[in-house]
Amino acid sequence: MVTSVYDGYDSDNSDNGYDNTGSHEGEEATVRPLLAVEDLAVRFDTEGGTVQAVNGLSFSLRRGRTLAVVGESGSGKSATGLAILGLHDRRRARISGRVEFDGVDLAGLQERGLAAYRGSRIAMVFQDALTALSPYHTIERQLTDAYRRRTGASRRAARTRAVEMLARVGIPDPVRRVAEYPHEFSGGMRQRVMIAMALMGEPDLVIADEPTTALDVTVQAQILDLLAGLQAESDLALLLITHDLGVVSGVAHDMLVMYAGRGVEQGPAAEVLAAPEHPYTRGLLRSVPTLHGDPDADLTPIAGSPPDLLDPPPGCAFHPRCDQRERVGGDRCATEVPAFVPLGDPERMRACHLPSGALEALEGSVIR
Amino acid sequence: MFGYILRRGLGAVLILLVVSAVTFLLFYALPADPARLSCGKTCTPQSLAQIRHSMGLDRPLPVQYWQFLHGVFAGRHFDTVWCAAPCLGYSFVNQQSVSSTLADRFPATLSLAAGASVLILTVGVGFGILAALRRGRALDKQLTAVALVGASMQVYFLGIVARYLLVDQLDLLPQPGYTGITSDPGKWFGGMLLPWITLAVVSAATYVRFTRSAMIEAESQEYVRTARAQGLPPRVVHLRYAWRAALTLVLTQFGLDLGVFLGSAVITETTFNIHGIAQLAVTSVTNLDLPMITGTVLVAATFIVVCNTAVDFCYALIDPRVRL
Repeated sequence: MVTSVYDGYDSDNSDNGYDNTGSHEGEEATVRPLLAVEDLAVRFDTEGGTVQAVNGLSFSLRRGRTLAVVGESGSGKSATGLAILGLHDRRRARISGRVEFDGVDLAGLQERGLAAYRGSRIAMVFQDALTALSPYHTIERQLTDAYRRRTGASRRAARTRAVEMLARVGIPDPVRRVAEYPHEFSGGMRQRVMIAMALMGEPDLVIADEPTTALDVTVQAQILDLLAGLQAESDLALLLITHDLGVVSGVAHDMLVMYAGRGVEQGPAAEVLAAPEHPYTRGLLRSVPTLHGDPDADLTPIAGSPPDLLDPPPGCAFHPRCDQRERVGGDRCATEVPAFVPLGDPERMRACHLPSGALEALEGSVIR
Repeated sequence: MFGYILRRGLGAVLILLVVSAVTFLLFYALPADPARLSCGKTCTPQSLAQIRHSMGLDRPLPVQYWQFLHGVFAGRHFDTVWCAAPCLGYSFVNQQSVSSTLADRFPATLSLAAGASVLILTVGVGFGILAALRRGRALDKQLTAVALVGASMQVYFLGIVARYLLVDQLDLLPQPGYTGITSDPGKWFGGMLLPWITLAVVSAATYVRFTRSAMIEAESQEYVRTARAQGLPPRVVHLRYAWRAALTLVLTQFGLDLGVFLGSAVITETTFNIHGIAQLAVTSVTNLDLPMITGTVLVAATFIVVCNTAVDFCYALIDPRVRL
């Protein structure tokens, strides 16, 4: 969910105050998005200087919706996911901005306060379940440890629940497998375990950070189907962090494209994929093959490489790689950071100096 | 499991064979004659030849080694005396049975090593974890500083100073020395206390630093982050999840250090006047006492092999991915 007015019934909020101004006074609790991130910044102090991993990012997400956060590695999408739950190393990362979850600013909480949200109301699914699960502990231990601590459930009751969750994510013979170790599972099954772990606490929001990247294609589709099914079933809000546009078109309602720590384009996934309004989004779409496109059409990679976040380019961070900058008058792209603003429709946003609708449509290469 | 034990056992025998053979070869490379040493000042060629014969040194080296092996596995005759397997022979110097001398001396060394290991691991690892948990704070800096001072100490210096201060002057600790644990457990414990503490101060320091860095490295594991993301309290995250990865590293280090401990036992035993295997080994080398040298070397090698096997077993206990 990109804005709080997606379904149109929230008429008093049609000025889209959520995403841009950070103002939310007088908001009705019933129409509040579950998660509202405002002006989030994540900085890492390194020996070479300060890395601006996330730089003034705002978005919101409602129950029952899937928002895909898309970008290349280094775009700040994973840093965003970790920042929501305060999982960055506090000694290294500096976080500013608001992460409002169900009315509480998580960015203002300490470890102890965050622990009440982690795993219970907000759960994370990490990329590589082989490294994200402890090799030293059984699946039962890892699934039930936090659950028992939170609920005071008996060992037997917790195991029963773990077995239920494993069955729910489609792991055969869960009674036996719950006693096994992660290395005894295949990659896809291990990712299912990771998802079962996320479901243990019946979360309202699941943040899935590249949940299918470490898997082969057929297994990827299964895991995505599983996530989409669970999301619909439990009315979850799902924040899906991915670099894979195929994933976005399959399961996401909305998408937010990130570049160099900022949002560059967002909107309903189908609209953004069909008619990208930012040269970077269009470049991403042109660089992936599709099943339905012309098999002989050339793929066009985006020229250049992602910016050095220690020393990002001035102006629009994408301008050194942008094939449209000639169309913008003067030196604006290199000097002026484009504002992330709505394009007429308040849920369709973009940060680019080009006039709206200036990009010609893509021929037949749109991901479906 | 059974196959593993069998493989390890055969491997150990092979190692011990090689070690004993090398000891024999090295001994004969020495430019010294044990028979001449035993013969004394008024030594006639006849008596020298007689002594050489009684020591078995007049036979070719392979024959001597073969006789030694035969003694170990099947027993052997020394003149009229039958020495039952495993026979390591008799001392050139005082004609004592090597096996019984070793049996006499080994418990002292074992007490020293075992007690010191327990202390080093509990103190070193405990403080190391504490320092890692309080990383960057005052306690961490204090522990790291104390550890650095400790690691710069040497047993022969710290031991003598501590003995003078704590035993002779302040009378806080009993005189160091070895008493059999079966004859008087209280006295055994009291006598070992100062050596244990000294060894612990010197070596635990390394373990504080090592455990600290192993813990900090383990903290960066993704599954530690997963544990945090599940809402587990920091204590559980550190002590249950991060610690397991650190434990493997600590164990590896400890396995390597066991050999070093045994090597430095010479200094420890001399400092505290404990008549252990290491002291025996040094005396035997000085006296060109081949049977005793071979005996001490074999005991030390066996000790290392057994310890390494134990460490490997521990790996399998800690890490379910390790198959024996």
